[in-house]
Amino acid sequence: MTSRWAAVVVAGSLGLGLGFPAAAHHGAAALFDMGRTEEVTGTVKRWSFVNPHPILVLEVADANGATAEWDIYFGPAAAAILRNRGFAPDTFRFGEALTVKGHPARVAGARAIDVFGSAGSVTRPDGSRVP
Amino acid sequence: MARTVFASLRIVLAAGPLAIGAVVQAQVPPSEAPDLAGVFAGRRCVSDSAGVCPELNRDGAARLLTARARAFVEAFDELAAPKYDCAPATLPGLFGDPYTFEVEQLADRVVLSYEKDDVVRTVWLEGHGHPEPPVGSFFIHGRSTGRYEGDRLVVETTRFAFDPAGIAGDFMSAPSSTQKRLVERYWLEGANLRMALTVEDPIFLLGPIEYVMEWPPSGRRPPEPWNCNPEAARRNLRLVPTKYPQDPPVQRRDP
Repeated sequence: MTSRWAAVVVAGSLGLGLGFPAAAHHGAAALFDMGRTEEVTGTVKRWSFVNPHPILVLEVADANGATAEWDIYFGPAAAAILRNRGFAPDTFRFGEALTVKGHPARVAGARAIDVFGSAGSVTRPDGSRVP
Repeated sequence: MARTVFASLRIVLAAGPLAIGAVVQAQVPPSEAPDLAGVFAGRRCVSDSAGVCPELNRDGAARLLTARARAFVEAFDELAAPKYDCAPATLPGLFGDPYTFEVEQLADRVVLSYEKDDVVRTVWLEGHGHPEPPVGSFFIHGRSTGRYEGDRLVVETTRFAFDPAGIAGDFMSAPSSTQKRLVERYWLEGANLRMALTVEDPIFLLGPIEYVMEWPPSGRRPPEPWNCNPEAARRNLRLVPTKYPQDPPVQRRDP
């Protein structure tokens, strides 16, 4: 398992994100720091395509080999919206490696990243974006 | 949209004394009624450039909140929000969700089925002898009655139960009281379904909230089952510190 915790980048970038529409009524800015982006690489421990919000959990190892679970959020999107964006119950396989980039959680100690919005991305080791 | 003839066994969730009932229906709406039947999705705020009308969140509605509403908002702990136990989205917040909903017009009622949270509302059309619920009966989505006025369906909803997110929801909640009253006016604007909404609550609102929303036809099948997953519903709570850390931690049971 590889790990790469990194890069604080300027928010609001015009990156090639997932391109979800904004959904301000869900108050993502209250939960995630829209002024920062963070990137982690890990392996899929869980993918549940459920409502109200699909669950993606990565197991991420630090430089010392210690592992921790990271919760990956897709903003306010429910399964129906992610399905329209190309996600499916079998999009991720247990144990496959992913790199995710997005806004980190505001609350202290949380290991969580929101990949919703233009700053977010989910990438496979070959560089292909998901979906 | 072609008018549909319903001849099927349906389970209709009914507010009021009818509770849950299975009724055989082979009914069509009256010929003078506008044809509003269809599946719609992708709400848009007509009265504002935003996708969601600003009044649907607490900050957008702030100028209309009474002092007691603002005090409630200040004191309310997100941890106590019913949605974390998969309680359904309520009105008018439900209108701001971007999911599919279906309008079915029957002879004596209109059924509004929402993908979000599997909400089904029955609008009891006036003049059909539908019984009034007993005094003291309140419902999470209220009790809706309706009538046709020209090309419009007018829905009036009262008898709401107290709701901590009954004016606005989703991390920016503001409450509504048993005095809340909604009037929805639906009509077709081209192929799109439009709704002019008025929300009144003399306890928590200084004046009415009013806005117009629009939904295009979805071109999709009717709403799919939502099947809310309690674990997934609670996931965001990990990111919201409680306002009352001195209280014992809450171990939620599944509903």
